[in-house]
Amino acid sequence: MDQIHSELPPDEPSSEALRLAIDALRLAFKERPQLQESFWVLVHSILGPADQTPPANVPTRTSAPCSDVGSPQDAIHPVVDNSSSDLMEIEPIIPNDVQKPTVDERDCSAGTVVPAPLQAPLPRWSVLPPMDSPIPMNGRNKSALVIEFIPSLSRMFTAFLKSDHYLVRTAFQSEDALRLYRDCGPFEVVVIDYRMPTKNGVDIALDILKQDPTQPMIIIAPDYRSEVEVPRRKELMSVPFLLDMRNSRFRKVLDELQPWATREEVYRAITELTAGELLKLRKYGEGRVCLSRGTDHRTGDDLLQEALRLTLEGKESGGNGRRWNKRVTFVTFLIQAMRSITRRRKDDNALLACDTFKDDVEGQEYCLFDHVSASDRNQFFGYASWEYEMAADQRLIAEETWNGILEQFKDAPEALFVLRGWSKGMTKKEIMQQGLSENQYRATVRRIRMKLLGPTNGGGGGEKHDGQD
Amino acid sequence: MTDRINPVEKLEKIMEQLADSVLELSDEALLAEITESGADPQQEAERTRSLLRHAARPQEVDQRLANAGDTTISNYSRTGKGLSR
Repeated sequence: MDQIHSELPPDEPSSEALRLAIDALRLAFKERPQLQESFWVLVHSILGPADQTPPANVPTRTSAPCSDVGSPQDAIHPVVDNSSSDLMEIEPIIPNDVQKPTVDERDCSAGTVVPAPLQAPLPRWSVLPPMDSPIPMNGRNKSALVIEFIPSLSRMFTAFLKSDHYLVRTAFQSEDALRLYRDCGPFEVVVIDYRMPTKNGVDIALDILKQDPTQPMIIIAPDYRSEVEVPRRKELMSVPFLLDMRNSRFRKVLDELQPWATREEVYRAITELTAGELLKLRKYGEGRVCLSRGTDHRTGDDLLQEALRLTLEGKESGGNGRRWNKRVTFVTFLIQAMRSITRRRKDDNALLACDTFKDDVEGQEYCLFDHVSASDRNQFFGYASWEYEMAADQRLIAEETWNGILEQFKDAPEALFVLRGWSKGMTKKEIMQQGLSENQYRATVRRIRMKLLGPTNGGGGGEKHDGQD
Repeated sequence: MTDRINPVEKLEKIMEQLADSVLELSDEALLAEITESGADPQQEAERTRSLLRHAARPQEVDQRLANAGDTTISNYSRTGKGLSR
């Protein structure tokens, strides 16, 4: 123990130092199991008996797993996420984690009287804290509620869910959790620690199910080796219990809770699409490829079909297969799928182009391989020469297409203005700030759409467009 | 002054904006645009639906064929004709 303690820096231990210490403890416990009990006796003697809740993965013989003693924290905390999802791999044996935020670690020397951690309440929020998420609210966002009284575990689940594009709310106490659920529910998933103090995880889950019987939930019960051992398991037969705290297992359980559409549901959705939705899908697909056909040879119809084909393939087949999560409409899903397919191709092209073209000292662009023989290219750069030729061809065709568009709209200065703005990545707002009213912008975009996506330009008939009128 | 944006990139950006502009349209506005371009919206919509059905069909057929194959093989096995060496 002394050796372990000496590894910690005198001041606040860094997360790395803590991790090292935990690893060392884990090894020591494995070699000498009786050391584990001695360790907890020591911890309790230093920190006081305020919290009797057993630590995360240390099964105790003396205390029941659903102990309702103690009330760790009296607040709903905003998620402060400095942890990464790989923390899931660390077994949560951080000793008495509950006390951590309230204990001054510099005072943790033997003999020092440390005030009971639960007596130091954390700041209470007068209103609910805002959702803390780096992701903007859009169709991809999902919401989750983590009901976990151990801060490190709470952070760990939060980090994991955030990495999977969830907006996460956390509650450290059962009362707060239920209030949060009543105010903000339902969520895509609710993660509940079985060992919640005051009110057991099963009771919290049952209360939530009373409010919404369809609420997907995961109960975390790492103290047990099999579900048979978990008391009151039968009361929640439809809810998955997570005993194995590995990343992959959590991901799998989370995935199984998602409302993935079956093949039959996809067929039904196709039948149920309205005329407006079908036309929107078609026009969107056309829009995504209408100017790249010279190099891509793909029409909007092809793109739409590819999106559907990948959906029906699903993830099981590997590769780029997709699944429709019924949280979003079928139309939104197909649009996102088309967007993703074209972006992937765009990224491939960009990678190729940036390797091939450079600027000289005068700012003129030149191809790196203009004066290099094909065999030298292969020898020195390991790329097939056809890839560079393709990149050069694409560029040439794009240049011609761009000139063709300018020619098409030569009598429409506003359209040229908008097109030039778009080509520079300007948004609608930025273009309008340059002197176009909302109505003018709309009318101009309509004109561009009619011309570029209209039947005469291949938009309706699936003809190839080479950029020329 | 030379325009330094890659032409491929320019077109990509235009296509992205063009496609997104479709999403902002109401159903009525879209139908009106298609009608104005001389096409029959209903016909176009059904063409798109059949396109999607067509994309879904091959797997459906494959599945049926696979199921039929399984049935045939199991029938053969049961009757003892074939598949024996």
